[in-house]
Amino acid sequence: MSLYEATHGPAAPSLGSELRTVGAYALAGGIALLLQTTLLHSLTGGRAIPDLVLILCVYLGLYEHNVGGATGAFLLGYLLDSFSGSLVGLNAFALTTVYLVVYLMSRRLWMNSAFSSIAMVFLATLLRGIAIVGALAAYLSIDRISLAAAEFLLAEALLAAALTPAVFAVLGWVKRRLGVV
Amino acid sequence: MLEFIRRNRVLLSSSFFLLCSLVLLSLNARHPGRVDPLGRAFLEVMAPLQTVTTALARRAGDLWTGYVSLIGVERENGRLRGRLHELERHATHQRELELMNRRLKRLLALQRRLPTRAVTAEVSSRDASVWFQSLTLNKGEVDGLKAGMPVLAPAGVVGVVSSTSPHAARVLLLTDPNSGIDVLVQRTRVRGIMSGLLEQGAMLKYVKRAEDVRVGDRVVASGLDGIFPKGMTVGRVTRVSRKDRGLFLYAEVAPAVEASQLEEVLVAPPSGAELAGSWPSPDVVGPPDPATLGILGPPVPAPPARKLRR
Repeated sequence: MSLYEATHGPAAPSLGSELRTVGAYALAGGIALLLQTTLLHSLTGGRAIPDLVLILCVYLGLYEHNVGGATGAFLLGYLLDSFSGSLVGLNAFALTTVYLVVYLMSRRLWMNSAFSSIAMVFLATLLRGIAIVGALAAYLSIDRISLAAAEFLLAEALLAAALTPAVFAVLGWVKRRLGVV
Repeated sequence: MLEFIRRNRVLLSSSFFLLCSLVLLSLNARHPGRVDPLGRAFLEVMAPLQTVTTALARRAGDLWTGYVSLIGVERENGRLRGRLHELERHATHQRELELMNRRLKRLLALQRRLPTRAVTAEVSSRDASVWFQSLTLNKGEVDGLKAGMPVLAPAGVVGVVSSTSPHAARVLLLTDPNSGIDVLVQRTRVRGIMSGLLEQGAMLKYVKRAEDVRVGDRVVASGLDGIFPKGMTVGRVTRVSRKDRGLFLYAEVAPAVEASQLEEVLVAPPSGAELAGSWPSPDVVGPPDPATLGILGPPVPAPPARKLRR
């Protein structure tokens, strides 16, 4: 840490760096959505698909503590809404909630280990499921949730948690390559 | 105020976006059509990419399916190869049974024509030394075998039982140097003693130089020794030599039975009686087995009866 950073806080990132960061996340979001809607569907047969967008959202909540992070989470959710048959705003609401919770937890807990990231993604998947079910219940008057849905949610959470180290490693590598770390 | 906003910018922005989400949700829940201001743009950008990725994924899936199919084909190939080996073993076993059946039929035919009752025995081992010619049979005294009994095969004479034990018997082959069988040259009725050679094959002993013996003549048992049935094939003359000096000629005989290929034999009580019917009898025995008759070829018609020279 430099003397300037010690006395004035972290140096403000340059515009170019911010643009590269935004571009990197946009690209990552696009690729995640692309894989999630095509390749991963084919590989898993459409049963439990690892939610790469959610992992990216958790990454934003852990490492992007700014307006851009919240915007990114909302846009990722909105992007998901555009490619799903659900109500528009449902995933946006869920992912923004996830981002907020992860952000709040990361401010109070040590979240820089691989295990904490995995645990966070696992919990975030469950949280997202709860958020979606809650929103659906509020807006579409769903009576009950079947046990199969809970099992499905658990499988998705485990799958996402298993992929977390790889996705985080790729994102960290991209950020280092772009010089935005 | 600005400081408060700066400090809580993440919370505030998140709350703002949560609010936006709820508004979007409310609008979409209330209206039947989708209220989706950015969705069309997202769809337009992502659709071609999704098409390409789906095509690639499908291609990869096809490749994977092909690979899995190949594994299946390989497994099936291995299974079929195993089945082929099993069938080959089965076919070999069946061929063995067929050959054994033919041999036993021939033995049975021989047994029916023998003047005395014979015992069928299997060859269980051969001589351990190259200097002597003998066989071991899987039957012995318990089955009625005794030393001195003739051992026969459909193709002809094999030898004599030299020793016995309760459940086994040793056979001295006619090609052994210690053996001696009273024989006749079938064509000319010339009599002699056939004995084995140290090297290979057998020879005719005590045949006078002036006797008519030619290469190819069939040699049969005379029956005068009281052991072998008269007329039973012993071998065929392969070489005749008359030296300048000496009383007897030298004739080599190839045995009718190839002892190394023998698997089953008949052991009969000693009998000098004549063999019933012609030898071999094609109507009972069937086509000659090249494994046992190859050296003899088709049977030569017997010459008119002639008095034996003594």
